[in-house]
Amino acid sequence: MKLDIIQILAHIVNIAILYFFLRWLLYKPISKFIREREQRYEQREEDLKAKEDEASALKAKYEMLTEETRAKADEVITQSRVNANKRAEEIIEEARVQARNMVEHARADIAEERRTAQASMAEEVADLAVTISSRILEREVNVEDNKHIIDKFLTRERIG
Amino acid sequence: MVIDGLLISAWDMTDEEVRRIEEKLSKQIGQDIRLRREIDRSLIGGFIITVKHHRYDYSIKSKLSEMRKYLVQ
Repeated sequence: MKLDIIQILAHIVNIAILYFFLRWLLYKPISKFIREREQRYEQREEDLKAKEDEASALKAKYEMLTEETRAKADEVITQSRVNANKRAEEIIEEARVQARNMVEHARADIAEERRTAQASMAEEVADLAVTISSRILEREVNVEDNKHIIDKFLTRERIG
Repeated sequence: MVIDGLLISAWDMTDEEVRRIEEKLSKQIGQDIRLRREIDRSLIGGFIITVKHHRYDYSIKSKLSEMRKYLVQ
């Protein structure tokens, strides 16, 4: 086989033409397409990252709000419990005072009733004693006893 | 001047008893006393003298009343 320099040059020229043609026809558009697609992906990635960041921020905010709400709820529950306990103690103390007053009143009533009963009984006993004494004395006292009373009066140093 | 008084007794008194009582009262008060007599059986025994708004009670009824007061106290 004999090397033809002309043909070699023609091939080289052809290859060069093909190279530049193909480069013009395919490489640049494809490169441009690939670059644009990469840019789109990068943009999407950035958007995704931004959305992730936003979602993370929202999640953090939500968690913070949740935590605050929980803390407030705990505080409300604790305060309600404290208030309820305080009110319960007040109610118990009021009931205690009321019960003490009732017992004192009952004791006072009983004492008063006892005093009244004793006084009534004393009066009945006294009336009975006087009635019995009167009946006995009405039967037993005689003229001599009256004379004795008169003598006693006359022998007193002072009357009154 | 004679002062009138009232003598209420459970029994009828003799004139002598009344005279002695009048004498005793006159000495005590310093004026002559003349007692009008009444009988009240409810006194049981003894007598009550009323002179010049003064009352001298020597009746058994009043003693029983005092006894009642003492018992009630």
